[in-house]
Amino acid sequence: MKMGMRQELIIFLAIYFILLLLPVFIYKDAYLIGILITCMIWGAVASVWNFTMGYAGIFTFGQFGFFVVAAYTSGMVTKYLGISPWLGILIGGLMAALVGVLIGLPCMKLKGAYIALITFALHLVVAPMIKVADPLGTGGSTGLMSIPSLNLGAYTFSRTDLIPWYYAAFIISFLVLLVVYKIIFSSIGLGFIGLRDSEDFAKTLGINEYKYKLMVFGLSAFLTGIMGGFYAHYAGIISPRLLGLDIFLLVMLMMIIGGMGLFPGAFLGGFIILFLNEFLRPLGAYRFLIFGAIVVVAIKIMPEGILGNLDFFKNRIGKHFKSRTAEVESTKG
Amino acid sequence: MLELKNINTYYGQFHAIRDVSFKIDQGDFFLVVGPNGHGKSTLLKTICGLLKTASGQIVFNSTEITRLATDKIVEMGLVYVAEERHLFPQMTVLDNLKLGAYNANARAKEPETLEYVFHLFPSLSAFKNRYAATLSGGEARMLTLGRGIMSCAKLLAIDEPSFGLAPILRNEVFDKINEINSNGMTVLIVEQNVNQVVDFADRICLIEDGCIVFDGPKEEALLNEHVKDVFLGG
Amino acid sequence: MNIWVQQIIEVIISGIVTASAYAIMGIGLSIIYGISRVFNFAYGSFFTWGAYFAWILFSAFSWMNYPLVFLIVVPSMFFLGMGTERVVVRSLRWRKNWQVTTMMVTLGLAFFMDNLAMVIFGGFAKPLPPLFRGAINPFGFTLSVQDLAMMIIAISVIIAFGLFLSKTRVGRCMQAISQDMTGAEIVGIPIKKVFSYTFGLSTALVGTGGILLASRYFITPHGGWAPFFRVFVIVAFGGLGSIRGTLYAALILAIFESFISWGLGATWVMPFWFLVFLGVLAFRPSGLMGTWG
Repeated sequence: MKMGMRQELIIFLAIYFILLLLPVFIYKDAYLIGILITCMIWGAVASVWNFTMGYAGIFTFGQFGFFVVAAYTSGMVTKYLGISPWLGILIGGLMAALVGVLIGLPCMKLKGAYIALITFALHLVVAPMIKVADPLGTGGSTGLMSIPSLNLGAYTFSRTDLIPWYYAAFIISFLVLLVVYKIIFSSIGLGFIGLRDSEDFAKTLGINEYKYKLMVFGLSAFLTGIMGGFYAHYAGIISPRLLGLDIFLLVMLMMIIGGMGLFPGAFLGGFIILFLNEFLRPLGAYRFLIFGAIVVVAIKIMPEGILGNLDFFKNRIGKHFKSRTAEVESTKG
Repeated sequence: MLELKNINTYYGQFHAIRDVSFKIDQGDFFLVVGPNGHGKSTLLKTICGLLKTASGQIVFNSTEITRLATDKIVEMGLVYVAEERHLFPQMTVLDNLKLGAYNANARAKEPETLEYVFHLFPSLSAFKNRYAATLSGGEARMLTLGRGIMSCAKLLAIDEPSFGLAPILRNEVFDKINEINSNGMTVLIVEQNVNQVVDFADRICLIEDGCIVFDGPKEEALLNEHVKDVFLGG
Repeated sequence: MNIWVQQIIEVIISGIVTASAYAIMGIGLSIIYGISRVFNFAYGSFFTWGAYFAWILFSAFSWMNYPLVFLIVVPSMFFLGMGTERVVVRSLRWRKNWQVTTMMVTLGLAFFMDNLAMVIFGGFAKPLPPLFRGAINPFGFTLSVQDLAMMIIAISVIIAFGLFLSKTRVGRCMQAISQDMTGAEIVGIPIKKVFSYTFGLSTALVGTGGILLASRYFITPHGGWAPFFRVFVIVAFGGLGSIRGTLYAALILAIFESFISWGLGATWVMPFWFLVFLGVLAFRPSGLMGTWG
């Protein structure tokens, strides 16, 4: 059964349509293309995070852990074992999913804030883990270098021509967002609405909260991991710096923007925040001060916090459901 | 002394208290009855500031307390005795009682009030050094009531004091409440086990579905068919 | 004295000394959680800033000494904490999912504070003068007076805190709130005010820990995260909200850490903490849930 919300779908497709055509106008500007690629990557990560937090109600701070685990996995299997990068990305995603499920097994039973605590602690722990595993080839604090590029058959993506990377990022992020979109507006999404509104009622309908949450958590780990794996090959070098608080907060801001309403909000947030970041770059270290302050102010002035999505979404889904029910009734005759 | 005007309280989307108004005079023994889950507890919690009304006014001793924080309300002399008790489990009975006298009015009079409470509840005096977590249901109820009395309240709002108690204990609890009422404390009590407490009441109020269905002196209540149905049913 | 015994005793003492600082910081984290039910992710940043305040005082005034520093910095941290609670945290409490939102906002604050330190003080490590110089040699092993002082300070703080909790009115209010928040409301305790004091107290404690540890090591802008993680694991291990648990955990884990560092080398220290954390997750997740004792 396919369900779709007209408005969100249109915006979603419109954004991608623009992205599709953009290089035609700006292909000479490698700097700009590079930024757009990072926007797509982090925007997708923010989108998955926004979905997990705002729609599924799982408060996780561990997304970057998944991102990095997948990045290192993909980087290492392609670099040391000669596996194809595309397969590497997939393996990275699966590895992240595995970690996600393992963490999720004990966690999903706990109350929201505890999941946040535990996933944050996990985030703090991944960097030292990578450094300790240096002998295993992670590259320690300096980082994992010389990660093989992507390739299509005989053609290997070069580090200088960014256009192929652009479209690769385009396709991958599109697929990731498509999955998120489908899930939000599917029966699983409805299940979550039911859970949030009335746990007991939902349980009587046989909706198992724990199972749902675990599934979603694992899926969000997988999707984030896919972006991580892609990033590893794109950047060629990865290091524990990816787990820094600066990246964390930038993406969190994107997610907060997403929390303000429509579905592709967090993805758009990716563009907004990263362009703001570039714009403020001349300010040097003061840039971070501004972003820190923005985070504090943004959270305080957000009317519903990052859960803004859910109520907004509930209203829309409610109307949609009523209209669909009316459709179904009318067809029954 | 206490007046409610058109109070509406919500639990999320659920409209728990609908347009409730009534008055309690000083010295009253005011009994609120009604079926379970129809808003009796919610009403008390709203009055005492633990829940906020969506609309309406609550006036206590000529001061509007609708938007006031609980600690201020307690300071004014309106104190809640919870059905879920909310005792401090890792503190002794004595410490629980002492904390009951936290507010500024009660603090100075603590030693005398303590003696009064021990006089009312000799058993509390006997195990004053036991931890609250180790008390039995009945003992805990006594402590909750005692702690409420420690606050030197002018109006004590008591939520289902007999809940879960054996009939003998129930009688004892109601006797004590009647005693403090006779000593001058205005009492607002919510109850399910009405039969044993009806005699002590001055006024009775019946709440169904969050609305007041009857509000009047006890004598009138006992003549009202609907109210009697509820008594027999509850 | 046998060289092995001497070394072992010194390792244990080293552990106890770090445990001292961790214990103080652990109490701060424990009360914030046990009483206000809030998690302050900027805890490490306050730690760092406490140390930087001390550094500023020492740099600006050549006649500065530690007693004066503590006298100035600790109350300042207290008010800084109260101010932070009022401005940043308080309004979030009455919203949905305020615990997670508070975590997010304190993360932003941490970032701001760390980078402010970076901008103002630069990235080079700053030292604080040692608390005391010299060493004593009781029973044949070496104990620096500095270390002895740290242990004494920590024990005094812990005892003072214990007395505060049980003897003062505010302290008993804090205990009440941690045992039953609604009950505390019912007896008329001004919850918001106590939350404010708690945050202030917690910040003062972590600042103290910051000064103590900085007197032994260095101060860097992002240097608060490592201690924060350790203290977090300690508090989780001992039971979030349990003071006694935190103290025991601090002692046990810090001594273990000392042995690991001595026996296996410094690179194994972080993995050690990580393993402990995993262990808590696996065997005692209730440690993260909170108790009070």
